[in-house]
Formats: sequence, C-alpha cells, structure tokens
Amino acid sequence: MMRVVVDEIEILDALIQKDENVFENVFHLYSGACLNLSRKILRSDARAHDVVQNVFVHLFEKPERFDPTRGSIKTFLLTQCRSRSIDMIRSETARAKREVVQYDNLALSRNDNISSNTESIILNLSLSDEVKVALNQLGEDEKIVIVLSYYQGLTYRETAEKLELPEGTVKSRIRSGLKKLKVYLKDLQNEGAN
Amino acid sequence: MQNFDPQNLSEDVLELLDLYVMGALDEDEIAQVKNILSVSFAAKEYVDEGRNALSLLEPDSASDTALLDSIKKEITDVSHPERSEVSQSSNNVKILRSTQNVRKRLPNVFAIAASLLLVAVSVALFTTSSNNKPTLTADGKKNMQEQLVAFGKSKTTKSMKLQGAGNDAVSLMMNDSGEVMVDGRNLGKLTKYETYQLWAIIEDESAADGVKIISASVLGNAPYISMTHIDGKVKGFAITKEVSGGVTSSSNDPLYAHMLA
Repeated sequence: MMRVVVDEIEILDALIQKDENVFENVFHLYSGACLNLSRKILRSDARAHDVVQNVFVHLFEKPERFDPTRGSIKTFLLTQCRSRSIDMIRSETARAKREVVQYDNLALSRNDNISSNTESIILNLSLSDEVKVALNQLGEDEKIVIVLSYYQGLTYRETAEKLELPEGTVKSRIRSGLKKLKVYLKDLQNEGAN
Repeated sequence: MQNFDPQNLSEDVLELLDLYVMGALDEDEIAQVKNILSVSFAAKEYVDEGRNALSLLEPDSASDTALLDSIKKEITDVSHPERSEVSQSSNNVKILRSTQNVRKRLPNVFAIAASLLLVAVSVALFTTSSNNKPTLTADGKKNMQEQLVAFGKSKTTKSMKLQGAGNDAVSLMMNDSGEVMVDGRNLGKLTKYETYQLWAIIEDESAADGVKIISASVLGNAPYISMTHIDGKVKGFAITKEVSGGVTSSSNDPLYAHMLA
C-alpha cells in the first residue's frame, strides 16, 4: 500500500530513512514533469531518461540535499533535471548535435520573422497547453528569449548572437518575460489554492 | 517562509539572479551568483521564489514504470557493484545479507574497533530524562541540528562518540527502537568517487563469532546529520571510507569506531 505523502517535511524524513514506498510515491508524482522538462531541453527521450534516472538516484542516496525550507520537492527535482540537462547539452558533443537538430532545421536566421520562428520552436518543443497559455502572457520578443534560455539552455550571449540582438536587449527581455511569468504563475497558483 | 526585500539587492544583482533562474548565464557568471547566494539570504529567497514559480510551468503527468525499475536496479546494483543482495524496508536501512565475506573479515574490523575503544579518551554514554521522539519540523534541514538535540534528550537514547585515530570523533546516538542518528559534520569532505559508510556490529547467535557486521548507512562524501534504523542488538559501530555508492563488505580499516560496553 502506497503511503500518501502530504507534507514535504514528511517526505524528507521518509527519504532519509530510505523509505522505498515514499520514494516510489515521489517518483510517480513528479517524474513525469521531470521527464517532460528534460525532453524539451535535450530533445531526446534516451538522454532525458538518463538525466531523470540520475536525479532520482541522487535523491535516494542524498535526500538531505533537498531543503524543504527552500521550496517544494517538485521544484527541487525540476531544478536538478533542468540543470543537469543544460550541463549535458552544453557539452561539446551534445552542442554539435543540437546545432544541427535545432537551428539548422528551424532555420532561425536574421531574415526570419521572429513571431513565426517562436511558433515553430514552441510547436517543436511539444509544450503543454498550460505552458502555451503561460507563454502567451508574454510579448513575442519576450517569448522567444524565454524559450531559448529556459527550454533550450542558451545563455543570454548565445541568444543575443542567435537573434542578432544586443546582449542588453536580450537580458532585459528575459527579465521582463520572467517577471510576467512569475505574476501569471503565482495568480494561477493562488486560484488553484482557492 | 521568511519575508525578504529584493529592494535590498542592487539592480545588477537582481539582473544576474533573474538570468540565473532562467539558466541564461555562462559558467563564470554562475560562479558569481553562487558566491552571492552563499552570503545573501535575500538573494537566495529571490532565486527560490523564481524557481518555485517556474516549476508550475511543468504540469504533473504520468510516470514511467520502466524508468522506476531502472532506477531501483541502479540503486541496488549499479551504484553498489559489490553488493550481492540488499534488503530495504520502510523501517530499515540497507541490511547486508551476504554475511559470509563479512564474517571472514570480522576479526579484523572487530579487533581494530576494540583497540580503538581501548585508546578512546572521550566516550560519552549518557541517558537523559525526556522521552520526546524526534520529529522533523517545518524548518526542515535547518532544524536537523535541533532534531539531533531532541533525539539526544530522549529517555532511551544513548550517545556515543566514534573515535578516530587522532582526537577527532563522530557523534552518534541510538535509542532502544533502533533509531540511529549520526552527526557526520566533522567528517572531512571526500571526492565524488568516495563515500563514508557506517557499519554496525550486531549480536548474532547463529554466527560463529557471535556477531555479524551490517552496512548501517552510506553517509556520502560530505555527510550532514542523518538518521537510519538498525534491527538487532548493536555491539558497536565503525565508519570506513569506501567507493562512491558504498559496498556490501569492507576490507578497509575503520576510520572511526566505538564498541558498546
């Protein structure tokens, strides 16, 4: 019988005690979201599975790294998955593959219309409806820089180079986009809580 | 969650933190942010707030059972290549079943542990008056230390120090229910390829030597305070340094040890 996890502190307590039922419960609750995020970044099922597997093995072996005072375990796991996925695509080999798969295929160049490219990238990422709605809170110029940094792991310098925009412009667009997303997502969370 | 005022952070820092949350910084800038986070509570809260909000972008969805099987396999096999069989339950830690090899080495570990006991200069073994069972509070890890104190106050808790070769020691507490709390903060950080491992020497009438050694917990390469559970009558503890992931049986000499009277 699977124990219902109702509290982040209980999760930590149980994980420290190597409670396999709770570990499995955490896996069933959050691994789907982790896989989705890693898939979007890595564009590869196999590599996404590797990342998520490593993250959950790490959680089992070092549960104390999760600090409930800093956020939910879902946030912790997603942050780990995202960070490891980005590390992976920033490696030399993966970068070369990504250049071919993502940019050549998408033909993102200075002459392309930003709006249509944003749409094609989002389509290519297979984002959920919820994410699409969230991204629609942003202007087109904010949406593209958010997608390139958050989902494709590009630094603001790489994004600036890719879009042929000044670095300062990219930075300010990422910031304004993030600000809007935070407001929208917080409202969404509050609505869900009420 | 404590309140914080991002206004206390400069615009340059806020910009760095926003870009950090979005994963848009290069390695040098990430290092800068980590330095800021290590000294600024407000910065840490700001980053946490951003990450928590963005986590809502990923809706929960179905899990992959095959992946879970693969993870379980790695936990029990791949990261523990020497482990032949490991049993885990909700109330128990990894229990070594293949005791044959351990028994062969038992005199070695036992003798070293016992000899360390002889030279131990500070063995603290006390019983206190409270009977409070330790519980985790909403402050989480920050309160692990308080938890340690609460555990120490439990009526049935015995406190001991696993003595090292020098004057250094590792505190360990155990109650009658077999709950064990180890304060590994004194242990020096190891490389990512190594781990500290806690062993318990358990009374076992069926064993030729009358005892068996079990792996009580793999403490990791930078241990903090951790809890585990041990079944059986404990005769002593030892900590060894092993390969990352831990081993089922050790041929390494204990770095720290304590034998119960």
